[in-house]
Amino acid sequence: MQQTWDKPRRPSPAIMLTGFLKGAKELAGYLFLILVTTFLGKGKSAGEQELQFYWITGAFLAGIVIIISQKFIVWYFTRYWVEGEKIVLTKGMLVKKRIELPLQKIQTIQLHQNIMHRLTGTSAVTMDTAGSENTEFEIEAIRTGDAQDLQQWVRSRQQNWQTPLKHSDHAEPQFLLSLGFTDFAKLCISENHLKSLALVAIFILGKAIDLSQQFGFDSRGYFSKQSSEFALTFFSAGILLSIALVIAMLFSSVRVLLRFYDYRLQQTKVAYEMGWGLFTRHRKTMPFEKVEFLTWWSNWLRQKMHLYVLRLHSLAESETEQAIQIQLPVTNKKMLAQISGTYIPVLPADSGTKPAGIEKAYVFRRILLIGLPISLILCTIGWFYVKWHAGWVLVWLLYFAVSQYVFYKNYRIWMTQDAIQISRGTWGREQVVIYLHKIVSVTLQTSPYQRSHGYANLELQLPGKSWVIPYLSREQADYWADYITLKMEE
Amino acid sequence: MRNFSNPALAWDQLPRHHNLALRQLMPAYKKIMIIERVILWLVLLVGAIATLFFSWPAGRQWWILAGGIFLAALLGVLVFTANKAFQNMGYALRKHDFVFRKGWLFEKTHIVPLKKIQHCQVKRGPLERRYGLASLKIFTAGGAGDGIALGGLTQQEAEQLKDWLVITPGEPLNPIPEEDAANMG
Repeated sequence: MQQTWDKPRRPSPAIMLTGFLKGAKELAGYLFLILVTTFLGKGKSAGEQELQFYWITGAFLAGIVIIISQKFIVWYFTRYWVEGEKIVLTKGMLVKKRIELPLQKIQTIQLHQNIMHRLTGTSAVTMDTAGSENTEFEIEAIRTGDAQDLQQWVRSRQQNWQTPLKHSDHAEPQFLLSLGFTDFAKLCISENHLKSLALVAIFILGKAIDLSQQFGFDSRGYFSKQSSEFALTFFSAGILLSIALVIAMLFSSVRVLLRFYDYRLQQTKVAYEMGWGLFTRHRKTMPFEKVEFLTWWSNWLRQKMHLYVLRLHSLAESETEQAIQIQLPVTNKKMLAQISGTYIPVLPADSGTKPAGIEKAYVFRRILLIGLPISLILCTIGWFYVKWHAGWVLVWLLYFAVSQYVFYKNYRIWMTQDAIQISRGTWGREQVVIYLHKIVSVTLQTSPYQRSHGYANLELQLPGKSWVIPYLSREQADYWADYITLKMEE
Repeated sequence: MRNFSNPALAWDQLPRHHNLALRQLMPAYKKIMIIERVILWLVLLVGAIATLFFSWPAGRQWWILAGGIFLAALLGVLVFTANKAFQNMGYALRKHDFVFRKGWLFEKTHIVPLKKIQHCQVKRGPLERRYGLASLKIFTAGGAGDGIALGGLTQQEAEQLKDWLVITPGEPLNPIPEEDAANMG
């Protein structure tokens, strides 16, 4: 039976449990440190330790009671309902807050489930308009069935305003993509392992600093002593590198698993529906018309495997909150064409248009303004410490110069009547496809050098992101700025 | 699905932005720009004096001379760039968009279609109130977070522009009374 949403409703009482999990996670880190300090602390008698234990247990229980009470207040004072053409959320005991979102302005509706949500059959619902980077509307827990009904109901209302839905629009969604074991393996192998290793290193260092503060243990001195005593041979360096690689790959695999576990993508007549995530499961519906622009990218290895990460950008997408962005791993070119086909029938790169590039001056200016100054500074500093060995910095300079040249050679822009496609990257590739009428504003940037040599950068401002095409000829940049402006205004 | 067409683009039929005559900002705005830069310079000066005071190297008085010359040169550069930047600033209104140019060394020309503007904000800081000026901030849908700021307008001009950009875009804009413009600066 079709639900009605005009009567105020409370969230599910499960909010007290789902919120508890969130609070417990925050408390657990402190509790661990306090317990370790208490039981391993030096110079304390058994009586003192016992007393401290009671204090800690008491404080922890008090913390739990506070969290549950706070969630009870949230549950009791939160109401949501639909009033005319807007959805309303009221909350707060002392400070009352009323949030109204016009249904037509809602860009994204997402459902999220952590473990407690799954155990209690509930979901958190978030909705966003284009107005803010932060989540504007959040109900922490409502029954999953109700959450899905609400999501569908809002979407169908939005569709009814634009084009009345036909019966066939409500047909069963068509399954598009899920990830098999091979796809997972490919994703794990081709992850950025250097980034994973850096994250592991930062985590370990952070914990070492925490422990050294608790115990008064000189972790920096310990690491320094161990590293100076370690005799670095070819064999030991190889072992170390192998261990680092294994750790990085394991960590990368965990990241891939957390992000893309049970990833499913399906398509209805008007929207994509997708779900992903291991511990926290996300479900999202993205109507085709809400997609502002598309990007996809692949590193060098992924290019060889025809593996892409496609992102659908909407007005409400946050550039900083990676967890809620719609990133779709696409495992073959055919699927990429099918998904991008709902945004633009023919990609500008496939339309037979001759691509334009950027000017070669880009390479020389980058070397002159970035490569040379950095090399000079590093060489000067290096000279005081390692004398002539500082010359190795020139190898980096050479790499920098080559990479800038490759970037310049790879830069391609296809401009058609209605859309622009940019392909760029040094070893990997990043591509963006934008309908010209979706661009928000354009900016022409010039430095004194560019003005005197007839170059300009063209910046395309898009919702939440901007793309700069560097070093176009001034004539080309002026023409494109005028043409894009014309298309934006149509 | 396959009825995609790709006719050649007409180069000479486009309205060109770089032929536009830009409207200059109020001359008093140049004073504000210079005062803001001098305040920044003073903050640097205080910082430099404090650093010298607490780590005074005995017998190195030439540091003071070098520091003084550097700060004086910096002040000169700041005033010079403010002057040049002001001369290069300007805006133009067209039926469908708003064009704004700023910067001297690094010049930027923004073109914002009127239909993409979400809202505008008129702001008056202490210096702007002192000189009877106002700034207009233009926000676009999901665009650059801080919006585009256009300073150096009279308050009436800013309010009028705000209403025109948001409420009646595209309609003829009443000219700003000459006496208001003449009273500034």
